[in-house]
Amino acid sequence: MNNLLYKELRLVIHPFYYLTSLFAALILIPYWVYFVALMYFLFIAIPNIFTNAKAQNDTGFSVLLPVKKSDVVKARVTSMAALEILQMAVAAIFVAISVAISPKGNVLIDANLAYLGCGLLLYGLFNLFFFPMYYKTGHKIGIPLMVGLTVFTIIGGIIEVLVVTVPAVAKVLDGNTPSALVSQIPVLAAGIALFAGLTWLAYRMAAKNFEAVDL
Amino acid sequence: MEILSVKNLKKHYPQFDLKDVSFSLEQGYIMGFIGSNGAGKTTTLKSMLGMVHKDSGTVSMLGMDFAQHELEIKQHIGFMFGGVDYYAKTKIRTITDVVRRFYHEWDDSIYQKYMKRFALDDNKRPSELSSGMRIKYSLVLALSHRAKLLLLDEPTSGLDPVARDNLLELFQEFIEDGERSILFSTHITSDLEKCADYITYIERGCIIESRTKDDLLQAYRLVKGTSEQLAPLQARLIASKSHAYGFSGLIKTAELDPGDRLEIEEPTLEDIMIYYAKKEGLNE
Amino acid sequence: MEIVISNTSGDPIYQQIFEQISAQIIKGKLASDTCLPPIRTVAKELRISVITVKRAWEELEHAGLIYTMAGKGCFVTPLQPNALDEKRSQLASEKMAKDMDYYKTLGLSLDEIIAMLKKDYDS
Repeated sequence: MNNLLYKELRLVIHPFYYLTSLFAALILIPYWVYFVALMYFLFIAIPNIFTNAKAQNDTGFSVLLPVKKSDVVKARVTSMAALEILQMAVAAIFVAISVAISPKGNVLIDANLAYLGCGLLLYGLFNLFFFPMYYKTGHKIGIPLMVGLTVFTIIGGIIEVLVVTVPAVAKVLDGNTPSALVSQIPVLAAGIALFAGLTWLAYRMAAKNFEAVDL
Repeated sequence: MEILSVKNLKKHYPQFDLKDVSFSLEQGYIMGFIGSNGAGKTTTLKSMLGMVHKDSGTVSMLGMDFAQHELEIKQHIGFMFGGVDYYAKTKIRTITDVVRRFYHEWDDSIYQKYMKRFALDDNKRPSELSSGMRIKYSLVLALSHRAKLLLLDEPTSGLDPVARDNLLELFQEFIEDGERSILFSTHITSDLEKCADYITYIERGCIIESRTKDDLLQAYRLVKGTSEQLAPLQARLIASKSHAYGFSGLIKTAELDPGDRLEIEEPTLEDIMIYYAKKEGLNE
Repeated sequence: MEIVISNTSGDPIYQQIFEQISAQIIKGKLASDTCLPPIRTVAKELRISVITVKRAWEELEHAGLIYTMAGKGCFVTPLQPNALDEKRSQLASEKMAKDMDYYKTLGLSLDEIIAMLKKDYDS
């Protein structure tokens, strides 16, 4: 498994894609839809990494190795999840900067801990739809990516709408004052747990689908 | 000792069936796997390696059941489908650095030795290599993890005669110690006339022959005669080709009658394939 | 030891090897108890199948020209001069018997065969 992760780092993921996490700097824009900052990773890194892997015949290479097919999937899901976590970590830094330099807040959800928690949930949901669908073929990325992005957008949109229209939701998720932390820390914790759970589930389903593919 | 055994392998596709494929290979020999394009060579190899899901049948390698000991077996075998067709833009050095980690018995000194012998420069990228060089590189990878069994799909196609000859020489060197075996598929049968010990011949998903090359070639005869001779002979021929001045056909040696007064020759593997393909109606 | 294989002679390769090595043994070019090279090495050098060489070695052993020592390889059988002569006529008569069948199917008489043999031997 470690060897496969090493393979992902050396051969599959071009170091350039670590830099997409810097799109989190968009969080510094005042009055904006902050979930969009998290989508650049899905627009740029995911499609490029996967199409590049296909162009390089990564699957053909992996099946030659003495590894389980499910571990090939596990390594890819793990490495993509790691990039998502990197993205969230960088986002956390910009959230902190944002709170420090423009504490006025946002019409939509503020850049705060709850935002990070919701972002993790959205990534988890993306993973849950994207990976199992992708591994039904192991090479077609178009539709799985569109479905994943659609789920991300719809759920992200619903959260934004709720923050604006339902005061009870806003009370939990919105705000960037120290007192808001009390309600937001559990949201972040739930986000972390959901991200882990959904991604694990995504891996299990993806591995099962890939097992059935004739290569 | 049997290093490879395939029993009753079946795989159904809408357009094609692998029907009850069985054959086996002893330690220390080269087996050529021949058949027309689309006869089922690649499907057989992929089913053996679990890359394609077989419907039924058992495969064992190195004395172990493949399904139960897949990872252990893969540590000790090498296989390739064509040359290195992956990571064309990555330096060979980097690819090797990844691959070597996966094998318990990886030996860097063997790797260096063969890279040098094949004049392969690991600062190059696969895209910069000729197809012969790419095949050699994937062989180096197999040799370096001390594979005991090589399963190669069309390793010689696309190579020039000199490169093919080099490769066949290497194959014979590989089995010289009597411990290791090679199964390789090809439709260039002249490669096999030289070095193969056994031939397995597949056509339309069925194994037609699997035995020593010498026995196989002795089991058939190419016969030639006049048009009048053809009619009484037809039932005994596997297939025949008529031309304006007579005919030629393939017959089992056992079916020959000294009274036939035909021109009789030892066939090549290619002759056998051509007439069987004709029988199966493949070239009509 | 010399072996020259012809792909056009029509004789099976194992037969060619057998005939050439047996001739070298009978003529004394391969001395008694000489160790023959390993089968697999011969196959590699000649670029032929291991099984073909094995078959040739088996025929040699069957003809009493070589013997096998387990784990050590095959050696030329030490034969007394009269035993060598005997082998020589035995090998020649076996080969001749085969050819004779063919001549008979061609409908040649003994006199015709002898005349032809004489002509060939003299030329």
